[in-house]
Amino acid sequence: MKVRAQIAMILNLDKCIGCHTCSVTCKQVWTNRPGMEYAWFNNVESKPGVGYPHRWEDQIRWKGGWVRAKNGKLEPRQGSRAKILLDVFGNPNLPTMDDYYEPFTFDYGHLQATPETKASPTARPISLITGKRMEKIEGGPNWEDDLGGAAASRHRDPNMAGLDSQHYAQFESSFLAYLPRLCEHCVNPTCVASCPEGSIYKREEDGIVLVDQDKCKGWRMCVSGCPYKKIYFNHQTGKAEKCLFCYPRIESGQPTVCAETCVGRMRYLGVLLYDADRIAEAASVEDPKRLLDAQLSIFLDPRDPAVIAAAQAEGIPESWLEAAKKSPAWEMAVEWRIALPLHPEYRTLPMVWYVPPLSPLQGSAQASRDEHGDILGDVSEGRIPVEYLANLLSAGDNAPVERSLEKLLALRRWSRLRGRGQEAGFVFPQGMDAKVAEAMYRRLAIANYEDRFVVPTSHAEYATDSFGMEGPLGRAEVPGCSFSDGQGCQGSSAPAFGGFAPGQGGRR
Amino acid sequence: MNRSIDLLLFGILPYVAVCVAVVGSAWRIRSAPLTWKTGSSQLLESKWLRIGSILFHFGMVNLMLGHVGGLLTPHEVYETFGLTTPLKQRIEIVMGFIMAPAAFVGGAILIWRRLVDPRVKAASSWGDIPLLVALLLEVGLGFATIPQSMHHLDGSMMLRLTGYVQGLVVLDTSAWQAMADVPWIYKLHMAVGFCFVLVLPFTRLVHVLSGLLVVRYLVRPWQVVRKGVWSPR
Repeated sequence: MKVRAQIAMILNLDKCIGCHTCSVTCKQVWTNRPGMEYAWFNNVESKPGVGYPHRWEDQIRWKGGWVRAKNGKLEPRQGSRAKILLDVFGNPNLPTMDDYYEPFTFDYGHLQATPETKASPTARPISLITGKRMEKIEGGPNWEDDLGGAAASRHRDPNMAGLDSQHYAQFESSFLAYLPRLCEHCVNPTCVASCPEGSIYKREEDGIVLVDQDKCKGWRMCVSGCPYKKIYFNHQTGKAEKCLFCYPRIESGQPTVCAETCVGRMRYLGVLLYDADRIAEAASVEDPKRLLDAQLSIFLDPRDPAVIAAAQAEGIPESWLEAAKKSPAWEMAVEWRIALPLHPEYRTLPMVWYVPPLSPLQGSAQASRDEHGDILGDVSEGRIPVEYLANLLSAGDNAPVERSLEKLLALRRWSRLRGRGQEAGFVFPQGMDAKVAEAMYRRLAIANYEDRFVVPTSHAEYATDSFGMEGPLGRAEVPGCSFSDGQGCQGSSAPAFGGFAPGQGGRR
Repeated sequence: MNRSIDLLLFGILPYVAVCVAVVGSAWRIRSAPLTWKTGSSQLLESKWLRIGSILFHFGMVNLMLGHVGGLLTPHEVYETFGLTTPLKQRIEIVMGFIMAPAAFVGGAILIWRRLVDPRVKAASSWGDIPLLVALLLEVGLGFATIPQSMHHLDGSMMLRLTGYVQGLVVLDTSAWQAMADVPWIYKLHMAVGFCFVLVLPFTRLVHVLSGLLVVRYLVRPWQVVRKGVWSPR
């Protein structure tokens, strides 16, 4: 047993209102720079829809994630090491700007500069790539917001596999869910495996996956390797960039920007301990539907004395072990089993998990009224088909999604009865009782700040200048010009090209 | 006068070029690692890049390997493997006849798309096109030596040139004298080649060095984990 700790994120989709505050605050902090206008480390998609970049979930086309070979070994879907090396001359699986969208601004200056006219002046769109006027904006980071135009593109959503997309394209049976997406900080990341240079790495202490900007050469195989398409190529610096999980904030015990600013209070951060010796075994289970259980099986119980002893032997500090016991991630993913990983079939063992959303009842729903005498409905009566959520969160296996939704429904039913003092004798689903329900109520409904974010700080004795060690661009930011393209703001005190000092460029 | 030029271009320039390339590359990777990159524009335009870049690199990589292997392998070594000098000369002519046009057409496509595609054009830096043009000129010069070589299929000229380059490698200070009556087209091709070595650290050509080192990937484990701050070392 080799214990490793990771800060995992859980998103309670039941409470996501699709406001995009996470995306906007993330963009303001991390991707508000030349070359990254089109990139969103965090974006929110309206589902069903093709998403961003278009049809990112279609791995037949994009070749992201892993495949299990006949001999049981895993290999990136885009090919062997030799194939990946040969493909650097022209990556056959790289999304281009049009698969994301051409970023734009508007000619606001025109509004002020126009002399008095009969018709009011308009601010026309300008491309942030070419600087030229665009005749028509063809796309955006969430072009199908709230199902705009989705009837046309619904059947192109890969998660509609096995569902009657004609039926769900009708107004009466349409459905909607929001899916906020960020880097999954996988335990078995394909981006890391696809980097010929070895410049992407997973941090042992908190599991955050980062690109070493000094080492990155721009071979861009990581972009196609990641099945979630969460690595972006900066076309100005020529290097790959990705979600940093706001590591400078995490190191100081603060939540990520997306989690901190979530107005729906639906994001959770907590420590998960896992057994690093069993990663390969868990990721290469033959049946994709068993990958969820396999990943759950490598998570280690933070209250088990053997686990604690092994973790201490690895040097994991007490504060982290204490945080692991109070971890919302452990509770929601492992104890209650209400959170599920996004597309476990990619075999990357993702560490950003989702509580599936409950949904309004279908018009035809009746069973619940008959059986329970209330209007909450049964799991099968929600407008969002369980099959759809299963394609998204459990490799097409309905059971884990149903189990999760049943518990969420039971929590509501129990809470309603409790409000009337009638909860005695309530029949809970398996694995749930009044104590668990109370704890779930506190985590999910009340969702106090300290219950959502249990992030231990890096110990002072290990503290380093995290910005100097590995800034978003991999090196010391010059004061007053935090996010340059690396050459744009040499301070007079800095040596040529921003300088070189021992310890820069991350931990090698 | 000619002797002075020969000494300068073929006696001194090669050593200066290699020294500048080594010191310059080391300086750049230490002081400005962020500028060391392939400079890919595939994100902005993929269709023509895939055709142009693959053709160009297929030609260039093979030409490079051919030059390094052909020039540095001692005469006796390939003879013991049964490869005669005239046969080697013919193989090299045929390979050059295939690879140079591949590189040339691929490079021409790359130049064309940098000029025509609005997104790539906007993202190009000022050196991209001149560098490509210079490389294609050098490929053209090399290709232009083929008719000359057809006059001495016995490989006598090839032996003289390989002798010169191998003399350079073993620090023979009189090696340059072998270049005295070599036809000017060879001399030009070689002098321009040395100039490419000279400017290598200051252009995006540095990614060629990365390309040489990147084969380490073939033996690397899939995953890369960096030691944590509190891990025992």
